[in-house]
Parts: sequence; C-alpha cells; structure tokens
Amino acid sequence: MKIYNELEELVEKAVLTEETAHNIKHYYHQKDQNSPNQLYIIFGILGAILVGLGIILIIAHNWDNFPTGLKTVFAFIPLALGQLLALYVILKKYSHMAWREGVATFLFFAISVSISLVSQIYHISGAIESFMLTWMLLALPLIYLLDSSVACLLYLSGITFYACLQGYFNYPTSPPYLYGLLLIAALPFYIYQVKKKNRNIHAVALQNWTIALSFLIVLGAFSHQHQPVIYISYICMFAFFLGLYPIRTFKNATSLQLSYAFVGYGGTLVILFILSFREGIWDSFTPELLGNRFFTSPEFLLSLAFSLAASYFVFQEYIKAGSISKISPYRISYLLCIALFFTGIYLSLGAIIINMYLLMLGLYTIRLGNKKQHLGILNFGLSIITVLIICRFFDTNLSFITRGILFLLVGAGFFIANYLTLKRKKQNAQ
Amino acid sequence: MLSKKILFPLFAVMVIAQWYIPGHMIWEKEEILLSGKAYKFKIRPFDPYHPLKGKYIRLVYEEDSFTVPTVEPWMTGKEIYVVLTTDEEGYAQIKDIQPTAPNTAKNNYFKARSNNYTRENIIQLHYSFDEFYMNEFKAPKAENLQREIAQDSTKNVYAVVHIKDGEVVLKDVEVDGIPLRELLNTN
Repeated sequence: MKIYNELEELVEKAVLTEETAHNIKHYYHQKDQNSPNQLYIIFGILGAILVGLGIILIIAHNWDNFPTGLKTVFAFIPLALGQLLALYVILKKYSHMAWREGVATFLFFAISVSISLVSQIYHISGAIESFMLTWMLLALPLIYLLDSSVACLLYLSGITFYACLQGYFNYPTSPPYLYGLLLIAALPFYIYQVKKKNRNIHAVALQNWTIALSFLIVLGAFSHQHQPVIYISYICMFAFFLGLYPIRTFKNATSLQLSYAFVGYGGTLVILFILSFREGIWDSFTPELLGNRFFTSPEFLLSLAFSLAASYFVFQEYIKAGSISKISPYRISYLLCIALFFTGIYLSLGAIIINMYLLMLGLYTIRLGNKKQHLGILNFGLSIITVLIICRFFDTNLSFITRGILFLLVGAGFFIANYLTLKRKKQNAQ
Repeated sequence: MLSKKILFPLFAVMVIAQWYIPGHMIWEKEEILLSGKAYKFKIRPFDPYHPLKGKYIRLVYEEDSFTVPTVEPWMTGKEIYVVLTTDEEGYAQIKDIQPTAPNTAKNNYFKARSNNYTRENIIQLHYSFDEFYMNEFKAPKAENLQREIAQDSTKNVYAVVHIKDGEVVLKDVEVDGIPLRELLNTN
C-alpha cells in the first residue's frame, strides 16, 4: 500500500513517531481484513450477469431439434442450479458478500430463463409487461433472502421498465399503479441499507441513483387525464428529493447525497424553465382541468403526497435554522408553482412571476457562490441567468442589438465574477 | 440480515413459487394439447424478433375479422369470445362472437380481443396465439419460404391450434400437412 511507503519517509523525516506509524499501519491492516475485496465482488457480479445473459441468448437460439420434454428440462436447469447455489450460500457463505451478490444475480436471470423457455416451447405470446411483472415478483424475495444490493438494483430497473411499458409504450396506456406497490416492497431493504452502520457506500449510492432516476422516469407515466398537472407533480417530487438530503454546498456532498440533489436541483430548474415560457403549458391550465375528477386523479394525489413530504422537510429546516430567510429558495419553489397553478387558471401572470423567480434564483446562487468563494456555485448561478436570457429570446421580440448587448453583459459578468472570486481566494490564502 | 429460522421457510416458499409459475404454465398448455380440439387457421407469416424468448414469426390470420349487423359497445376494445366452425376444406371459420363464454362443452370457442371496426361493421380481432417461436437461423428462411408459397396457389399454410374451455395453444405451423420445421430442414 502506498501509505506504508509514505509512513517510512515520515518517520525518517521525524514528522511521525515510530509508535504512531505503527498504529497507523495496524489500523489499515485491520481495515483491509474487515472490508471485503471490492474487485472480487465486482468480478463475481459481472461474471454472474454475463453467464445469466449468455444462457438467455443460447436459449433464444431455439434448439428445435430437441424434443419438447428435454427442452422443458433445460428450462429448469439454471433455476435449480441457482437455487442450490443460493441454499449453499445461506448455509455456508452468508457472510461472503461476493458469493451472495453473485448467486443472487445468477438466480435473478435464471428465473427469466425458465419463464422465457416455457413461453418459447408453447408459443405463448403474452404481453411483455406481464412477463416482466411475473419475473420481478418471483425475483423480489432474492433481495431479502440473500441480502443482495445487485438483486435490488436489477429489481428496481425491472419495475421501472414495467412501469414504462404500462404507462408510456402500450396502447391504451394506463397509470402504472402496481409500480408503487412493487417499489414499496423493496423499500424496507433500501432503508435498512441506508441506515445500517457498516453500509457499503458504493452499493447505497447506486441504489440512490436508481431510485431517483426511476422516480424521474416513471412519474410521467402517471399523467393521464390531467396531463398539465404532471409538471406540478414533478416539481413537488424534486422538492421532496431536495428535502431528503439537504445540501448547502456541492463541495462536501457524498455520493449518497448527490443523486437526490442532482435530480432535485436539475429537475426544479428544468420545470421552472418550461413554465417560464408564456405560451404552451400555461395555455393548458384551464378551469376545465379542475373538473373531471381532478381531486382523485393520480396527478393531483401524487402532487399532494410529494408536496406534503417536501413541506415536512422544509418545516424541519425552518425549526433548525430559526428563520425563513435561511431556507434555500430552491426548496420552496414548489409552493410558488402550486399557488401559480391555481391562480394561473384564471390569471396570465404566471410566466412573468416564474421568470422573476428564476432571475432571483440565479442571483441567489451567485451570491451564495460569492459568499462561499466557490467558483462552481458562482458559475452555476450565472448559467441560470444565461439560460433564462436564451429562453426569453425564443418568445420575445427583442431586437438583435438588445439581445447582443444582453449577451455581452452576461459574458462580462462571468469574467468579472470569476476574476473577483479568484482574486479574493488568493488574498485569503495569503 | 434475517435470522436462519425465518430464512429457510421463506427460501422454501420462494423456491416453490419459482417452480410453480413455469410449472403451471406447462401443465395448463399440456392439458389443452392433450384433450383440446384441434383447428387449422390459414396464415401469412413474417419475421420479427423477441429479445428474451428468441426469434419468432408473427402469424397474421386470414380469418381475423367478423362482420356484424350492428356494432354494440361490447364488441370494440374488449375481451370477447370467438365461436368457431370449419369450412368444407377443414379450416377454421368464425361462426359468431359473444361477450361471454358460450355454455357448451364442444371446445369450439376461444378468448380474443376485439380491436377497432370499419364502416361496414367489420370487427377486427386480435388473437393471443400470433407468435410462432423458431430457431434463429430458420425464422428468416421461413419468411422466404412463405413468399414462395404465396405465389403457388395450390399450397396451403396454416397454424394448428388446440382449444379447450376458451384457452388456446398454438401447436405448429404446417404446409400441406408437413410441419414448417421439417420443411425447412429438408430445404
């Protein structure tokens, strides 16, 4: 290990005492023994995925020279092998993560192999979503029984695909309500992973990303009879994400926080930019929307659930900070959107207010970057204002000269702000 | 995470479920093949692809619509029952469509889905047995063979379908009594 070489040099130069160097060596030695070999786990999982996919492809060849009975036996061989391996893991290797994850992955694919092959033998043309649903339901216990993060990731990806088939691809589409139940079934495992003390940070980070992206993809599939309202549902969901792991700077963010923050901040801004256009979405916010069972529609109920959860987080933040002014305006943008949605049905001021709000968000971010002397946040704020100006070029009749001057001003703003921050940083360092 | 006392019974339940679903599928289909009634449906195949189950030819049935005197609400976009008879050459022909399963033990009806309808009151039907899985090298050949057969009006391509209590299994695709698979082996 590199640190061992460094230690010798530090002891020679009398930076560390012999005893401290020994303690450090001892600490890392112990740590190595306790933590599983990451490479071993990764190769185990990759191997299982490749073998599983390989079997699926070999079966897809369709060995039509074999009699049906023999083919039926083949359908169960990977399944039986996977189950025997799983039993062996439970009995003998439960503490070995590489074994657990590898076998869970293999068995996950073996389930699909058996259903696929039976469907092939009997020419069962059934819709792919019922195939996915059966596969995921049969694979769900693997997550818990083998304590497997990879099975959880595959399951989450599978149910996302199922929801997309149900809500986007098939005709006629319908809201994928079952996705909610399937997701809830995996949540106890996820929460346990996040909360347990000696958690595997990489596994949790991957699950965070998968859940955040799954929500992002699937929420739109619930949009059915009240389509414009889904924008409100989205912004409430992003506020909920921002509330999950409050982030003040991008600097100290761990991978755990990053997924929700990334999707939360990015998503909030995208929705606000969409709402900043005067035409388009605002035209569809009409009084008719409130009819047709609006208050029992999935769009409304999801908005309500996410906004209540987000409000809970905001309230907690308020108690902690002790002042409303200390709460990030990103986290309360959903309240503005909800208010504007209900008034926007009757008034046409919504887009103007959203534009002013975006400008304020840009300035707030610049100020935050300046205060923290963080160039990333500063430039992020400047980018918001730049995008806002670019967007306004599409729906305003400004002359070329005005547009040119605006761009020059923002460009100059970038240079000056960065220059001043760097200068101040240097001064502080001295 | 879980204690072994709970782990084993749960593991056993999972294993049973993972065997039961494909096992039940086999049982159901074998039952229909053994004791169901066989019908011959005239077809026109072509060659799409399924990523998990392999290559198949999609069967387009010649007998896939039914003319009714008046279109009623249950006839469009719903699950309906198709009642069959056979023509003088022995091929399946639609006798009637009904909203519920006919009360008969004749095994002459099956579940289908009604799609849209035309101005002439022709109801378009969608059958669940429209995918015939084939060896990946033979599926494209089958399509070529079908094209050749289409130009030869003396030959007949049809699907052999077994029906029992409204459920269906597609058994084979044949050309004048010879299974398509065998025909492609000899070609």
